[in-house]
Amino acid sequence: MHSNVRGLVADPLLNLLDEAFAETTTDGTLLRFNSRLLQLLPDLRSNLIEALPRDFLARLGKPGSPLRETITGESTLPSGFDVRISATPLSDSGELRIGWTFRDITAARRQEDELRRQVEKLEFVLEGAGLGSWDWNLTNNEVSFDPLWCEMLGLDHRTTPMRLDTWEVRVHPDDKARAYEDVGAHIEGRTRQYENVHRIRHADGRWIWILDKGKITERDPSGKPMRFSGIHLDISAQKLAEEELHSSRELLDLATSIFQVGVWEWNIEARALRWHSSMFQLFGFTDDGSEGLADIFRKSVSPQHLEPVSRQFYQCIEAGTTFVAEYPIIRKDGAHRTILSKGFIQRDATGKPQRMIGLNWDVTEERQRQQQVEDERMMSLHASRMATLGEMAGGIAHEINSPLAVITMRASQLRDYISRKTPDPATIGLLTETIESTALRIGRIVLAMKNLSRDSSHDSMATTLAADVLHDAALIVQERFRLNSIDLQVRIEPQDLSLYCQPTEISQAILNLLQNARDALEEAAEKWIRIDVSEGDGMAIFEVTDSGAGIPREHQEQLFRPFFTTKPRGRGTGLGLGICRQIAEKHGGSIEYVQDSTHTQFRMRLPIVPPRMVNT
Amino acid sequence: MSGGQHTRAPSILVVDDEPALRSALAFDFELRDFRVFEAEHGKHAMEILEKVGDIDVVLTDVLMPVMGGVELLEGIRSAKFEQPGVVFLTGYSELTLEVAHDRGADAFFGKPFDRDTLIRTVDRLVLPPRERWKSPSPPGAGARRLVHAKVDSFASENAGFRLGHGGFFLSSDLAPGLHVRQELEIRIELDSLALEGVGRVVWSRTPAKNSELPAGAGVEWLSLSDRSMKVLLDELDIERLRPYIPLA
Repeated sequence: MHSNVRGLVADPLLNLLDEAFAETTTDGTLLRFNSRLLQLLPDLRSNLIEALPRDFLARLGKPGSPLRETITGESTLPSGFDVRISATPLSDSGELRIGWTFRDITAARRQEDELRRQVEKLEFVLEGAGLGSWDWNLTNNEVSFDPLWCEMLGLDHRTTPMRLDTWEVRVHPDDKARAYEDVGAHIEGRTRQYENVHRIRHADGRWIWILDKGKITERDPSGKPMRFSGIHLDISAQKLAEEELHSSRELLDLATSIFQVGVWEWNIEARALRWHSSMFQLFGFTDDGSEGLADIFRKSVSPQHLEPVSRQFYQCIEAGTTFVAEYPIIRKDGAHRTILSKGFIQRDATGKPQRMIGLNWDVTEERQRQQQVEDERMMSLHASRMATLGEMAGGIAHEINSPLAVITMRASQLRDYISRKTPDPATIGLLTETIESTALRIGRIVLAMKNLSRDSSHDSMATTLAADVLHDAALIVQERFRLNSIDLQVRIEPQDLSLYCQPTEISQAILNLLQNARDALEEAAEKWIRIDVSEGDGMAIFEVTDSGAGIPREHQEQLFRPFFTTKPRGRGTGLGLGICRQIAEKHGGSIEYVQDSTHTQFRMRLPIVPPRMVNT
Repeated sequence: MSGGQHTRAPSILVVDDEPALRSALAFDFELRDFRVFEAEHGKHAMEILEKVGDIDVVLTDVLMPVMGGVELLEGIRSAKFEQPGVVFLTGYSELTLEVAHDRGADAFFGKPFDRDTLIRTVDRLVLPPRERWKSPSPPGAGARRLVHAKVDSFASENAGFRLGHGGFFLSSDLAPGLHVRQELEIRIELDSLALEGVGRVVWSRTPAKNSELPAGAGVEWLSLSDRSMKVLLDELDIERLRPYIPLA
């Protein structure tokens, strides 16, 4: 239907042409045209010029002036088509005509616009991302560096030579070979794109790290690369962070190996455990991922510790508190070790617990040393007790041997007596009773000796009657005191007062105090020692007082210091009061010299009930 | 020492702070018709000695309150009253047999002791020395060793031989290798004088590194020849010597 314009019919031959075509008179009256023209100019009447956009008409010159040469121009038709219009004067038949061609460039133009927009967008992105770009002409080694590229290196774009040298002379010598290698690999088609990280000397002298990426962007018809374009990104900051991370990781490795500490992390939300390699070393495993952490832990920790430790761990996670546990493990190599583990909660900005960072130490040797120190302490306690008993031994031997002499004599007499003609049953009774009661007396002394002399280092604490604690000590010293004419009085109020203690140790402390008192009274005119036991402030209070006139003020401060003694050489080690204090403090009690007493008085306070456990 | 009259019953003072032991000892000596006195410590014993005056034997503990046995012995040996025999009965003390004899104790028993030996010792002590040493004692176990020595002095210190009132010290230079309880046939010569009799080794001493005391043995007389008894008691008057056997 468009083939008909006021009776004019499109030339069927011309219809074969892809472009729109028309032949007009110089004033634009259509002579011939094809149907393509009608597609571009649907509103066409009999005059073509009248149907053309004004911007193109301006190029044709004044209306009526003859067209002397071919005029071309692009324009947008009212129909929306972008066209390249070409008007050529035709004069072959003598009468001047104009030949018109209209090439539809709508698609091409759109493509161009799109390309432009893309380039603009890229430029925007490059600039925004701090990317510099380069465009390398492989045929002459000219490189066009963009302003950002120059700026990145501290160069002025206007004065920067656009040559490959500009880049090459600035690349770090250690990185250059590798960079060219990567370039070559891409040019030779071995890589899909070029990528290299290298250092470049900034104009201010420092080295900056560059991520360099590029691609062949143009080849000649034979496929030979012509252009190589790419971008530069300054990744110094990342590189620095990476180095920092690396060095802090190295530091961590170093620290963990020096301090024999294992580092772990528990992600609370993910419920995921991570181990630093140091943890594997601690447990004697290799960090090769062949075994799960939970499995390693289960294998290493004994079943009776695994459950309580795990429970405690989850409780701490739940409560957001610090986790501290100590447990024995058996390493993969079979070694028995003791592990101390501490975990610290880390929170996010809102205070919500995020993870627990943990440290594990192998404290085997430390614990062994502590045990050794404790053993030695116990041994010295025991040794000192033995020394005290040794000093008492004379009295004790005397006290045992005298009744023994009674027993042997009475037994011998009994033997003689019953062989008489008329033995008197009453006399026999007297003899046997003496033997029996005297033997029992020896038994009591021996028991007290045994109680005080055996190694009690593994005895446990127990609630014990104060009377029982004093009994052995009093029994041991009584003969010695009697021989020295010292009067010993014991008063316990209330009589059934008990205390939570390791009885042998308290007996020892009392024995030491009694021993000191006895030594102090050797030359005294008045000789008595009193033990008063009472209750006050939830403590059992033992007061040991002797008839002495007190301790000189200048000695009071040093009383409890080990090896302090005023006794002659060989009479005492000076450890007695130090050991008393050690024992009292171990029991959660105290011992002091009572200054305001008119006589020499020591006061020891000991808890009646076990000290309450914290957090249980 | 001692040597009370034969006309009266012998007397004994038992000193011990252990009443049960005093009773047991008293029981025995009362049965043997002794006059028995008891004291609970040395001071009490001195009072009784002063009051009674003619105690033949004192049996005393060493460690006692108020006054111990060693102090009592000193008191007895320094006192004017007739000297009783002193027997130590000790349960435990620093005092050794050697020292006890040197201080003048005539016998020394550790508790517990053999009752028969104690009674024999007391019975012997209540006899006057001439009676005590007259009868040749029956040989004990083992053969007696012959000890013949020529000495320069009978009563000087560091002379290798020294008399006490019940025996003598003999250095190992003069008679090496003597051991405790060994019985000896003794002949000690000093110029023209000779002491002959039977003795028993009470203690033997090898020199300790820190001791200035010479090696040797303490020997007590069991019996003496009449001639020797006369020399010892009449000419040398050994009863006035404080040590039973000197330390050296």
